[in-house]
Amino acid sequence: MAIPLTAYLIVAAVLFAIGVYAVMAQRSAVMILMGIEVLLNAVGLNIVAFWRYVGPGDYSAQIFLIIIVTVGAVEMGIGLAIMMLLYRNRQSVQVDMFKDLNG
Amino acid sequence: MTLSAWAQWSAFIIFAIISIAGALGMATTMSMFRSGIFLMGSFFGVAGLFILLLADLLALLQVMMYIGGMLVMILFMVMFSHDPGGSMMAGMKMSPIENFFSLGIPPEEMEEMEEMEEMDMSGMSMTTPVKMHAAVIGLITGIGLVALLLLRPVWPVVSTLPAPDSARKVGTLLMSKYMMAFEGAGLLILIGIFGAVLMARAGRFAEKPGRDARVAHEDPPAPIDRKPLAPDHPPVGEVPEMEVPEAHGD
Amino acid sequence: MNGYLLITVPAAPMIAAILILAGGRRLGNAAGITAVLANAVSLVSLLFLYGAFPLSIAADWGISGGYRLTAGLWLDRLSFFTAVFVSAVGFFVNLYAVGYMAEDDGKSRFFAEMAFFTGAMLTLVLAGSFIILFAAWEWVGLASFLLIGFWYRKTGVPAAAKNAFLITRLGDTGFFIGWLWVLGLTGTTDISVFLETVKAGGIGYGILILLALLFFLGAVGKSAQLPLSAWLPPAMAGPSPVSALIHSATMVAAGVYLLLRLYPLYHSAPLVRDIIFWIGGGTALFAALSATVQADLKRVLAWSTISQLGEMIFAIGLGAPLAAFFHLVVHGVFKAALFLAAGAVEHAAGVRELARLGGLSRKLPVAAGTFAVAGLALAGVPPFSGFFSEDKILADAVARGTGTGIYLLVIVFLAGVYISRAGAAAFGSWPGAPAPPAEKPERSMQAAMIGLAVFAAGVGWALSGTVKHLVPFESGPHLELGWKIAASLIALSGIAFGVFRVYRSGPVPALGGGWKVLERGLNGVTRGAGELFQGAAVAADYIERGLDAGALIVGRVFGMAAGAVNSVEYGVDTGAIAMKRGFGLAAAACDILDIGFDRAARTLARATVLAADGSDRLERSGFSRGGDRLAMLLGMGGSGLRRLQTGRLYLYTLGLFVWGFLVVGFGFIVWVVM
Repeated sequence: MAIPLTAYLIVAAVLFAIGVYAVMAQRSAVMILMGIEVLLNAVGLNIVAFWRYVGPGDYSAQIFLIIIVTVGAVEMGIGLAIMMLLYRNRQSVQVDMFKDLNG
Repeated sequence: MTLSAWAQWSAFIIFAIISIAGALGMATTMSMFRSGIFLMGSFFGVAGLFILLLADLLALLQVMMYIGGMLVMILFMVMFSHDPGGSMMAGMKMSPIENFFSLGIPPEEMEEMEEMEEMDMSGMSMTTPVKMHAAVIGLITGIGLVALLLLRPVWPVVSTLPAPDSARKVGTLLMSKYMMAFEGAGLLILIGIFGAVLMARAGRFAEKPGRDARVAHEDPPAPIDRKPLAPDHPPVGEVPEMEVPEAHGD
Repeated sequence: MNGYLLITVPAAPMIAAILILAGGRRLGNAAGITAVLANAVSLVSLLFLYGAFPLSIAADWGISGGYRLTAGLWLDRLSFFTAVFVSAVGFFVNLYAVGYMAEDDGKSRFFAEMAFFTGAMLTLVLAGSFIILFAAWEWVGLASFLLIGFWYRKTGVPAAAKNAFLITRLGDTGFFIGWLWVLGLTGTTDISVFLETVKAGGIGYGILILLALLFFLGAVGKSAQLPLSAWLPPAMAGPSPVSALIHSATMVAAGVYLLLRLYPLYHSAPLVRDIIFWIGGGTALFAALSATVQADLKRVLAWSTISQLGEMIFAIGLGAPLAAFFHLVVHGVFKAALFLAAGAVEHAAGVRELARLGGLSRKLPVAAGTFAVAGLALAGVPPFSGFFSEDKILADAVARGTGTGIYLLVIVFLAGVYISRAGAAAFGSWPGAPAPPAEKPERSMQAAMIGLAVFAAGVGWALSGTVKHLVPFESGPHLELGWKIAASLIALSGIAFGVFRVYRSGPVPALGGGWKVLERGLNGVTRGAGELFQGAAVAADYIERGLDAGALIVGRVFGMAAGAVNSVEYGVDTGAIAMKRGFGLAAAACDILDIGFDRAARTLARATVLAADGSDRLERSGFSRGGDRLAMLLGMGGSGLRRLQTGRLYLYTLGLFVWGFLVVGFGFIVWVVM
């Protein structure tokens, strides 16, 4: 218990901020997905830190994280499949090339 | 955990630095493949933090699922659809910092190239035009959250340690109380697999233009528009000598 | 240990099926040998289990509400001997099929399907729970479909397979409803629990009768009794091993087996037994008559199967399950032998029509001998096996009444006629026989035929004394010697008649061609049954539509009532107008006063018009312009907002996070202030 809870939460917060930056500033769709992964990581770290320090008897937090990770994996798989299709059709996955929904 | 406080603190600091540095590197480096590797480093850091938090099952899950699954997917996708920062950058001379970190600042040689051939090099950047806004928002979010954390009153921290066989308890819980979530996640994975496979198949009507994967062909792909912010894009000039990645067929 | 052995019995052929399927075409002859070995493994496991009954393995598959769904196998004396019979016949037929399918490309598919069928049939026999029984019932139907349609490229074959599947399905609905009802009554799907409840009288009489009828419907479908018999003759389009195994010995016997298994139910429902008696007897007679006019060798055997099954069902209807079981086993053996011989003829000579066969006894001696032995067994000539089983049925028939006994003897005569006609036409040298060339059959085919012929000859005599110890039914009455002699003589005369007819006039219909209409009639009955079901479904649909229309009519009635009220109101209005006109005359007098008021009113009106004009001008200038400007503002706002839809993902994510940030910031401020 030498490390206070807040330290973990700060690390998670910084990771979250970096993830936010990556999602917005990256140009390639794959990089945006990587940013989303960092966001999920930050949230997971938060949950587990709280579980450890506030309620270590109830393991629901770990299950929650397992489900989060699973859903993240599925979302990533489908996102990459969509990108694959995009790449086949447009030969590019830079998100600023796709302005078809303009107006 | 019976480690001394110093050991805990040093482990924490090391893992925290690894995660944050990895994430930062992922977000800023110019080579896509390298950002994938940075991401892997960040995952390892977070896994280490999980172990410090006595959630060993989750640390293993983190390594296996994120690194072993998602990262591999991402790397495959990166190699499939981009120049992974190899051939284009290899010929350019960059200072070691730029080589490692590639902040997106075009190196000097690039500027020369730009002047000579009057190419618009902004297309080579890895970032969208809202980079500054994004950086600002990211910074504000980070600072805001950290400030909130430090100003928050004390959390109801308990000092009991979790049981050492957390994996067994998690498994029991998963199979009894959260069975619906478990089955639902399984169903979701199944549907996701169906959807992903269905989408990524080679098109049945291969003769229709635009339907087949042109990377399998000899001719280069259609020229990529290089003026990102123009409302309507006039046809652009030459595509620089980029090596199209090899046909990763159907 | 015994439990594992019991599970091996149906599992071995299933595993063999999966292995053969996995092996694919490369296996060649090994596929057939695997199937034969699987049968042998089942048989040996069963022999090891001898004496270990009653043995039951069950597991709870699901408990929900008050219902307990079990799944399990039950080995008692009935299922033991039936399973031995099934795997033994299967062994011989598979051995035969190794030779029969030697030149066929699809033989691994064939043997995989045969092994699957054997596994399914053994599961059916050994089933201890209705779920397993029904599942195996359906699997057996599926395997039959696959195997009948094995040569699916030939014309008529897919239709025959489809027909077989669908017509038996009609009967299966009865079975399905029946066991679901049992589940509702007893709360569990265990068969032994159901039988105990029936024996203890725990189910009401009316429900008993309905259940018995429903299960009998399933048996009718599977065992090709009237009215669902039309699928069996066309099913002869499949290979002969299929006809031998499925459509003579095992699958069609599944219906009879179901009735035997659930016999306590029928024991307590004499009314249903009467119905069974009439249906079985009727089928037996009509099918036997149809068999005498058939022109195709295998069709004779097919109708003969229907007739013999009819006899078994007839026996159950008489209340003689022991006789029915005995005849089941005996019939399975000799009918399989007959089909194997017919298959050898077809394999060797290439034709099946009786008119084009003849004189094959010298070229195919093994086949001829097998056909002769099995044919004599079918006819019921002592000492071959058919004599003993028909003896038992006859005993029960006579006990019911002499007329019934004579009816049975007629069927015995007809059996002799048709089988000897078929045998003589195929093997004997009758005048005008084309005597086609024939090659010798394979070694394995011969071995299987000899094996089954031996069984056909001997099993009756061997089991006649001991069969009552084998199955838990009481033995029937004893038959007097006079009847026995009469039966043998009639069988022999039937045979003689058939042979005589063939030698004198060739393979013409033995008793006149007039009975051909029976076949059409029987087919028509089956079609009628199918159309009855369809009619019931359509009628239900019409009823529903009628209810809908009824609802519509009610709505319209209300509408009309409202219209009527409307017209009443109109009438009242007209009356009011008339009244007003009446008063108008009086009002005319007041008009003069009115004129004065009029002028004042007109001035007022003019003033109002001027005011209205003025306000209109105001409106047009100010308000409308204001409205226009508002619209324009909105439009510009819209197109301004439209610029938000840039279509660029990064701007959207930017907006998302900015908005989130603002909300969180706002919340933070609120929290700090409070």
